[in-house]
Amino acid sequence: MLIRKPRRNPGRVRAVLYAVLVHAVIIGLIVIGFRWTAQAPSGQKVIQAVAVPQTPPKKAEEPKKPTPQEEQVRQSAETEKRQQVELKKKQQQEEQQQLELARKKKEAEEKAQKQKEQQQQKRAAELARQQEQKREQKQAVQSLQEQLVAEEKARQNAVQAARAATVVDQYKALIRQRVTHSWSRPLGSTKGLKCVVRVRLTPSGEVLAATVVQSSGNPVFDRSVENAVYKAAPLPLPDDPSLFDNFREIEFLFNPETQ
Amino acid sequence: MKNTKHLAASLLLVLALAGCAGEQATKPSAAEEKGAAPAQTAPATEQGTAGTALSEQERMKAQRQAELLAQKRVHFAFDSSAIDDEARAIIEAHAAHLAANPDIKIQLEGNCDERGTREYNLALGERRAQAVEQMMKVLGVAGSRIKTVSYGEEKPLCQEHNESCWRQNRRVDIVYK
Amino acid sequence: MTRTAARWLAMIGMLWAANAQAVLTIEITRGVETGTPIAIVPFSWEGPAVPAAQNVSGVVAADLARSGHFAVLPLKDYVSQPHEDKDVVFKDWRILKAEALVIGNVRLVAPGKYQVQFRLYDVFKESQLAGFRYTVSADILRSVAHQISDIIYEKLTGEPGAFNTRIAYVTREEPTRTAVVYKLQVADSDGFNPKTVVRSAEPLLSPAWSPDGSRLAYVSFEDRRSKVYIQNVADGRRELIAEFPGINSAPAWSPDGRRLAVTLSRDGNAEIYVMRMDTRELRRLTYDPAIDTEAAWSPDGRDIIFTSDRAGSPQIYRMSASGGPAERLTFDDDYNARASYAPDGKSIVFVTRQEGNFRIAVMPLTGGPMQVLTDTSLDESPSFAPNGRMIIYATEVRGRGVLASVSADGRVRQLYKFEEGDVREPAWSPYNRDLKYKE
Repeated sequence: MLIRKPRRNPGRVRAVLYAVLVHAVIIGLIVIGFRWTAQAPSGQKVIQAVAVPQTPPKKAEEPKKPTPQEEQVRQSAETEKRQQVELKKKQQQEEQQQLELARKKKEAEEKAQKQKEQQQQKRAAELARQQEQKREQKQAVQSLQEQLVAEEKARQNAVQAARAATVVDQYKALIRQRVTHSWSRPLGSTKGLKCVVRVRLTPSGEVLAATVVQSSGNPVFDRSVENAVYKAAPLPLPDDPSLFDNFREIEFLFNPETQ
Repeated sequence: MKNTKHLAASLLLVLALAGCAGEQATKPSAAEEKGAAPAQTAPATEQGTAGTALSEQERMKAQRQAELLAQKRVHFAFDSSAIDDEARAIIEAHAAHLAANPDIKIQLEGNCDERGTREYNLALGERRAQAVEQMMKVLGVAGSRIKTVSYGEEKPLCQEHNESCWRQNRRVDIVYK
Repeated sequence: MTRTAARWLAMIGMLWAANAQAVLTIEITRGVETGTPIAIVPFSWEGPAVPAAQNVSGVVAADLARSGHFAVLPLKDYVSQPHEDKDVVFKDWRILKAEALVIGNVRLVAPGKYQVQFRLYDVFKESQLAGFRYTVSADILRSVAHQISDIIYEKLTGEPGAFNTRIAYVTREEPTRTAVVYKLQVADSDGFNPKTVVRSAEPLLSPAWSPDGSRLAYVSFEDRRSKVYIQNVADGRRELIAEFPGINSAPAWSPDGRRLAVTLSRDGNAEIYVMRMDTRELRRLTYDPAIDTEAAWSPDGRDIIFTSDRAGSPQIYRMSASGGPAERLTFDDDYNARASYAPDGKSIVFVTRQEGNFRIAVMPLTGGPMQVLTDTSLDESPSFAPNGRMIIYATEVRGRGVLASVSADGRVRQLYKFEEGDVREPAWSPYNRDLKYKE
């Protein structure tokens, strides 16, 4: 006996296909519909720009190694140290000399007393003593002279330091002028804005680093200030390398006074 | 033949009417600035009875009226719609003419000089035209015969930037329709 | 301690102090106001030649220079002319003291399609501040250039630019002694590419941009009296909005574009009405026998400022857009009119008369004093740019009507050059919506 299989619905496959097709069409229409509504109200298509990202930052050019200059700096530092040591030595010598003086004074006194008691050996002893006294006086004069010379030198150093301070002031004014001239102040009101930029310089006036240590709160203002310092470089510095320490680090306070 | 007869009849009729109207001449077009006809005929209307001997005074008065009626503009002070004596006289002359000629209609066109803002001047021009209209109504002219429009500073008579030109432009034009 | 010893100690102390890490402080109180130095390298061009007006980098350079905020460095000083990122040598631009650098290129990538790419750099930090690529047809190149200017302007000043905008204005020409032609035109913000939108033998006034920039409302005397029309800028289709008896003028769109304020004198004298665009229903706002006109909406759509001479002379008043009492805003001088709000709603610009001279002034709404921005004598119809930084207005130069612009702080002023006739009634459009660079 043949077992009859239950008859399948003949049009089933086709029905499913049609259903899928209809669904696809509807979904397609919905998608297209969305695309239409995304257009500008006037019917004109809006053109979207594509962002072109920043390429990896290039290595900044190596600044010239300031070896010769560093050497100079180091040498001048060393000479200064040497000078200080010498000065200390001299001071010690001075003190020693003073002690010697005091001591010798005492000895002379004792000898005078002895002379008073032993008057028989006077002449030879007195002569000797007188000679000794003369020598001592000479020494005293000499040490006094040396003292005067030392004082004179101290005075001269003070004057030099004062002169150095004037030079520093002069170059400070020059730097100020240069940076003022290089600052493209943002147009528009900058009243009340303050920005402090700390700059580290090389002895030749180039900028090693510039950092905003106190922001004005306005990034455009801050950027203009940093740019001012960069554009002003190399900054004018005094020829005397011993004065560089005054300019190694500078803080610029940008504080526009007018509106 | 028939046409010619009709035409002749029409012509006769027109002439007759013209004669009856007496002083009423052909209506001047709105574009015309100087309507010579009303000026000529007005004095006769004013006089009433066409007497044989007009007194010297009356003749001068008639001439004055003719001159006033020939003026189709009244002028104003800056930012003002107040009517001064000169303007008043002109308006009175026109009002009288209108009273005597009930079929005539006019348009009052308000204008300003170039100073100040255009929109404000549009409103100011209207105010000037309305001031003239008001005075005419008071003098007996029916409002339905007067139309007002403002051109603000858009229709100047001259383009210079000085007071004499500005004064010329601060005006209301009386335009016969 | 003996005096000598003391002296020695003092000297040592001084030397020691000098040797320490001292930080010198220098105060800078002034700068130069020439604008940010910027270098713009002419973009490289690959493809068929286009008219000079579509030279993208040329338009950018002109825009930035015109703003008064930038000093565009001259081409002759450029050591190199890179067009690609890899060709940029920052040292070349540092020596010029350029703070910013713009490079770019344009190439034809398909028939009629140009690809424009540009980059903006911070020279001293050696970093890119912006970079974008556009693919457009030749007729959009100018818009792209203006948007590039906007991007650069915003990155470097922190404020949005207004270069990708348009201006509408009215010209009057006398081709023959008896014929007069009025035209309502629309041009780029720099005056290029003028397109005539309306042409008439009778006056045209008061063009007003709809908030989406697609339509202009204006006053036309083509029927020998004032009527208000609204016209679509792109296709020229127009509709008559107001032709009531009397004056129909001073149209002003509400910020949402749904209402229009107009001046009508249908009820006897010039009053301000608000018309609903959907129903054309009118609502009267002012009830004063004085002249009330020149309405302008606040950016939040709540208030209207207008000109009224109810106090005897034209002054600026403010009232709620839904009606009510009006508050007087201007008290100085005997003539203040044609006021409009700045885009941020904090100040207004208007025409003021000082000793007979009509000038442009701005005034904060917080109650501060007015600041007069111009020193000429026949200035009128001021209109703010959508970034609130520039004001365009009409003025007279040597007897001829011209357009000029002034920065909102009064520092920078420029004249627009037109070929023929008198120009008046400028109106600055909202931002163009044809190009986008922000997501």
